[in-house]
Amino acid sequence: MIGLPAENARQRILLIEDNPADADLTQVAFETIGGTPAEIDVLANGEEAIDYLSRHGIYHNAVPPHLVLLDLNLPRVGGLEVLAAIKSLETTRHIPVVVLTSSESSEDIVRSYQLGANCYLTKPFGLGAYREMARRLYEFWLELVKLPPGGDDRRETGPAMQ
Amino acid sequence: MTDKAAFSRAGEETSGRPASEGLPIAALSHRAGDRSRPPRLESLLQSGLVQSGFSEDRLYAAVVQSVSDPIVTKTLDGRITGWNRAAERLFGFTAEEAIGQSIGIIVPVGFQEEIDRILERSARGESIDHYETVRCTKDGRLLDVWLSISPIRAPSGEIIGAAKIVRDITEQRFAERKFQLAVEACPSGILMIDAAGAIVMVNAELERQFGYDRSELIGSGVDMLLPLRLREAHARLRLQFRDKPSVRAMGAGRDLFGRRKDGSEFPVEIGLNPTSALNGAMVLATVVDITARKEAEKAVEAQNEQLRRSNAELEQFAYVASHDLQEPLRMVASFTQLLEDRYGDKLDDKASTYIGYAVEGARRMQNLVRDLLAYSRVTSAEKSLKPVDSAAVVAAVLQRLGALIRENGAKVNVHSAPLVMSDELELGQVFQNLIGNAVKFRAPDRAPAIEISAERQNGMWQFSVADNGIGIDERFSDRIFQMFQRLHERGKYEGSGIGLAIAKKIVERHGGKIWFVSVLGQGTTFHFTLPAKGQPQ
Repeated sequence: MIGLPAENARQRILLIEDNPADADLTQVAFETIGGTPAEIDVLANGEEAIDYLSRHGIYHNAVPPHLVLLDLNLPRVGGLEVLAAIKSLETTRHIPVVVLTSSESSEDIVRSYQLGANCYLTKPFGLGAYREMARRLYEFWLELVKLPPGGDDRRETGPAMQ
Repeated sequence: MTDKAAFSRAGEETSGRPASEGLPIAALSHRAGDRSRPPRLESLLQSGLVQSGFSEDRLYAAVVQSVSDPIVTKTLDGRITGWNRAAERLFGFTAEEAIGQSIGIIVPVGFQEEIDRILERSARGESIDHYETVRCTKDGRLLDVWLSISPIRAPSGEIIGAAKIVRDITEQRFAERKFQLAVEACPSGILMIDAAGAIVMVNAELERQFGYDRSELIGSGVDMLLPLRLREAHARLRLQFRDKPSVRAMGAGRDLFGRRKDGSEFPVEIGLNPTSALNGAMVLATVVDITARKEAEKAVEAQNEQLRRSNAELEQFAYVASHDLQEPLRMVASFTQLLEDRYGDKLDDKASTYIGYAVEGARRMQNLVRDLLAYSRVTSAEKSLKPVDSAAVVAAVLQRLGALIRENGAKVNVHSAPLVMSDELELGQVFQNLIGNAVKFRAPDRAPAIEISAERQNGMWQFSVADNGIGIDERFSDRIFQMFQRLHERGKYEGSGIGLAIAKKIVERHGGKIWFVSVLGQGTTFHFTLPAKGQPQ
């Protein structure tokens, strides 16, 4: 993939979610969106997520995602810490992070935005609502908005982006 | 009667000295300086006054007559020979009635023997000073008196009678008894200390409180009633108080303790009243044993603490439980739906119905959990009340409920909505629940009409939300405000039955009340009160 992403290039989403059922559900929800389905990688804990995004250790070849979906309730390293890490690293700061959690606590909401979350969503109830959410996320973040070139693209055009 | 007559008989034989010779004015005037004691007869006698009194001396007679204490003379066998004006006034007998009579006319029953003893002592030449006893008046009234009695000698030296000066102390004794009674009957301990800190008076309650007999207390330093560790400080404070006395409670903001004779301590409350006496400043202190009150306070505090803790735990529990309960429900609902979505063509109609039930059950449970969460949040956050424009709150609620209101063709009139001390979000919740109910429980045959008004009642605003709906049987007036209580079968009206419980919790948290009046089939009016602006809660 060289230069700007092609019209039908697959968008990459990193889902950081420890609940396999929720991970499945999210994948199902994104699958059924018309057009080219996004490629979704799932990581089940915060430590791994940070390694992945910073291309550390076994993830040194990882391709940065276009969008991160982040659950807050994670084992070991919590979602807010992952968020803080993403937003403090030069190499990952530009990646939009959507907090997707079941927490409705205003404390979590405020803290997330303070740490630089790009938006905060609570997991909707029922399959229909979940699909609707996925569709709107996709349309907004992966179709409507202009994002900085992700992953490989970024490396190509690196200096120009600074 | 004449003055001279009364005092000339006993000493007929004697011829008095000239009036110019050293009349003992000083002896008589001494009483002006000391009201509490009759002039000593001794001094009168020494001065020669009495001797001269038995003369014809006019001046002497005038003095005796003008003395404000009764002076009575009598023979050694108790016959009255002199009776001054003060005696007439006190005892009610005129000199004419009294003179020649037995002294017994002013002695009450039971005191007759005393007369004999007094006369015997006079016969022996003894003087009696400040003899306290009881006498009676012509009309039988008893008097507390002090007597000073001196023998009367003839110029020859022979004792021929006795003179007594009477001081009526009835009022004084009565005042003392009143004082005594008041002090002794007082349910607080009372003690008076002098400028040096010595105890000069205590009452029965103080003896009881500290376990000392008053004989052990009087004359001792007040420090004996204090715990050892406080004595040094107390001495300093006592001096400060002496220099700057004021009526006040002792040890404001400090816990005070008394020390009993057995060394045990007890909490006290002490009031201080400085008084000035002849011999320096005195302090009257009242002591209340507050052991029982302290224990009650402690018990209430402990109970409050326990309540606070269990309340906090309960709220925390409700919050965590509701939150964690939502997750699995979401799973159940989503995956049963996914099941139908993916494998619908492999299932029959029944399977789809069952899936529908499962999803609906999960959804309903989720609503309950969500409402429970909302309910637990009403108090879990300590919100301070601010002046809130209820009109704006109602307007916002009507906008939120816009769809519901339009669908039902409801009309809502807001007549008055004042400023109230409230939390904006919570007040909104109350209105939303009440207006929502008013629309939801509409009568099927007419469009909902809702009237919102408020009127001032003392420091509170009383809001009314009146509808023309189906009404509520007033038998359920208590149940309706309880959590998850519904009056209608499921399916007819949606809802978990928590709206009014939340409204009640919010209103009561604001220090208000909520209630309703209703006529079945005609409508319901909910009332609730909130503190008006500027009213402390």
